[in-house]
Amino acid sequence: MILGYLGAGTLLAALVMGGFSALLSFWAGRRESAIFIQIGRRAFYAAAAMTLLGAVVLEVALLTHDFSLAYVVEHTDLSTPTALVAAAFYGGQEGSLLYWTLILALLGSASLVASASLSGRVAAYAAGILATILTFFLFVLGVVASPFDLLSVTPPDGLGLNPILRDGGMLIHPPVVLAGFASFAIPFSFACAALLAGRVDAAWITHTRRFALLAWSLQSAGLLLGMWWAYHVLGWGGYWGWDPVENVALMPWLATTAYLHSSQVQARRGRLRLWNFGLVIVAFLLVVFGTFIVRSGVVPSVHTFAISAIGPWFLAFLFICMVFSAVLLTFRSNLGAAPSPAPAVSREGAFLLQNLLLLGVVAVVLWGTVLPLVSGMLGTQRVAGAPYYERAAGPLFAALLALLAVGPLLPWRRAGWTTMRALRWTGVTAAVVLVVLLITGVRSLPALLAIPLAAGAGATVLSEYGRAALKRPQSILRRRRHYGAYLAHLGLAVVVIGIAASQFWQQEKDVTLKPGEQVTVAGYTLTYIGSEQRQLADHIEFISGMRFGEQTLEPSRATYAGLGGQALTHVAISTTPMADVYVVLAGTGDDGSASFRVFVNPLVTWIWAGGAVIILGVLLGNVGDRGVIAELATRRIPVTLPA
Amino acid sequence: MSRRSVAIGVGAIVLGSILLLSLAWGLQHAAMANPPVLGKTAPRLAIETPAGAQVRVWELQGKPVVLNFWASWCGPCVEEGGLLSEAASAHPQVAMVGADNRDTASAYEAFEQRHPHVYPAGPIVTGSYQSYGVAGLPATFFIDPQGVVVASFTGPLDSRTLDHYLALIEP
Repeated sequence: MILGYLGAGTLLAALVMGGFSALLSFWAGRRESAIFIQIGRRAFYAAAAMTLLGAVVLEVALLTHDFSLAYVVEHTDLSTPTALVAAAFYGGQEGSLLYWTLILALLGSASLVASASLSGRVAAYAAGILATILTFFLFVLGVVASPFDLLSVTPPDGLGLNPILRDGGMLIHPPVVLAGFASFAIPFSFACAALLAGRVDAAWITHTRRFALLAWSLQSAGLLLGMWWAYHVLGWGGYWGWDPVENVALMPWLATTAYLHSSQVQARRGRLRLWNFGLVIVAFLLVVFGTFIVRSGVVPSVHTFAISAIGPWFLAFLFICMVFSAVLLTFRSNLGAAPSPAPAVSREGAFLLQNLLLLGVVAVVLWGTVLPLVSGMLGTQRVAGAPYYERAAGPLFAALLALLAVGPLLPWRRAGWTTMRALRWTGVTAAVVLVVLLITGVRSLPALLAIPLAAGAGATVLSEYGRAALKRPQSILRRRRHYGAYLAHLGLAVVVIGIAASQFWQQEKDVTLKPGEQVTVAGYTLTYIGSEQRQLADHIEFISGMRFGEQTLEPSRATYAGLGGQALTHVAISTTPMADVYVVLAGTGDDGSASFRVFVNPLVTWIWAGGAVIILGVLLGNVGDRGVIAELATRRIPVTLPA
Repeated sequence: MSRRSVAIGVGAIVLGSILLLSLAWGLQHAAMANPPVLGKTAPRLAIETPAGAQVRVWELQGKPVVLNFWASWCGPCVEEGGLLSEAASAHPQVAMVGADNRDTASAYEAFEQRHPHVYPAGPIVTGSYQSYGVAGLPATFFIDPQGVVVASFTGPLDSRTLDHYLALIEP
């Protein structure tokens, strides 16, 4: 019980310090008072320290099974393994909100520590905006969704963690996604601060580039881990279902991908200043929108938390953020005029087109996500299924792939006929792959577009690496950011090939077998051995063994008696570089027979491997880099416009 | 301020307002709000089969009913489809109804061609999955001959679980 009071006390102290930091930072920024700016910043650090202490208290309460706290009772029990008890910190509504707040506080502090190079006013306003966001979250934690609420009677045991969350993937997927969400607040705060202060030069981009990259990398890893988890745990043979909660994680990632590219146009050519502000703001608004969707339960999804009272608060927060951003952008819209229109066929033209296509995908996904609400409000509720997303976003993705293949070879300013020569490897590779696909009988238009274009994009990257290695090998190390980005492009091409192959050539078969009988799917033969029942610590498992070559695959079905008989499917997967053999146990009969759904999913491993290459490319290109763009930004484009 | 800026601003305000209004509407009709249907008369719901016939759950009183919410894009629903078809044949006295949920017409038709239902199934034409508090698919409701929801199950059923629930509603 003492932990409950202690935790609530620390969060209250953090709330007071956060509010104080917000008010003081705005006031001090306006007066440009160095000493008060410093005090406001330190108040933010104090709020962060208190939030960290609150998080430690909650973790201690979980690990010591303090069942006087409602949160501990609702998300753990004595039989839950220790690692999952620790992970229950972010397994429920209140705890995950505290985790979000903690990451915001820590990353916000790091960004403020590193903001010494910025003008005092921009740094102060950024602290003020960060502290305002932090204060809002602390208010919700204190008033509406406290993880430290006490029960009037302390029960002897808890209710336990949802079985679907009892998986290794769940130990890392939610914290990475949530950390990605929280980190979008840093670029947003500095962008708005620069707009408020009337400083539209690229200094804020330089300062927040690492945080934008961090947000993007965390979100990339979070999306991939989520896909991996869905594929390995949910047992439907796929990894992406256009679920509203998947959609709301994808949208900020798309907007940030657009921003990471267009910010280069500002740094190199001084264009797209207002556009970059807009993208960062849109990315954060999409994060707040996503947080609202996940936590309010307005749309049905496998991810949503139990309904709670925080929905209206997040809706109000979204409204305030939208109005604040719109007013800022409107009043500063005169500051963003570009020197002259960008030539269409050039690197900057390609970046702009890529931005428009990415925002087109965001619009498609956003519309599909809110359609049940908009149509419901107008009378008849309609829902967009996977076919809508594939039809509407498919052509945009194809155009993006074409840009991925061609864009990196276009020069800045204006492309000439010599560019055509640079494109030869790309074109030849795409054409060869297309011909091979046609010869092998592929007639699906999406496959005939996606795979040759992805192969062309891969060829572009490899030809650029080859050219550098032959002419100036040291340039690969010197221009790490450039070649790191190429590596990320290569990873993306691999991911696309994996998605296309597993999407277009997946084979499946439903069978009921008796022991000793065989099934063959896409040339892979499995033999059913027999079923058995195992009593484990907190659940019963029905396992049906399948012999596959030298391996034994054990798809199973677990039933958790302590959780009202909730059942969970455990998929068995045999992975090879070319295909996954994926077996789901659909049911067992009294005569020893078992029903299976067997999938052969080609090249799924490429998705995970390509994803790892993307993140590796971004890390290699940026960790320890001293900021080439920083130099370019300050040297070439010294733009400071009147406030 | 240029005319273009004003036009963009007005467009953003209109779209933003629609978005916020729809979110506010969503809060009033939260999909996760689980209405306490257990022990109550089954909410009104009707589906339309590919042949155009309407099957109304409230008109099936006198028979035990298994109401299964599914969708063509839902893998686990396909997984349990075979089991429900077998149960429909084995328990002819039970009325099985498949309520297609959050689907597009073309995806639904393509699905029916590939995995035709042996019992009445089709899109919901009266009522909503929300009135049953369905938050994830598949979801199955077991309704006794008096029209009262006796049990519900979220996730793909296996034969043992299905038999257990069928025993609760069969006279």
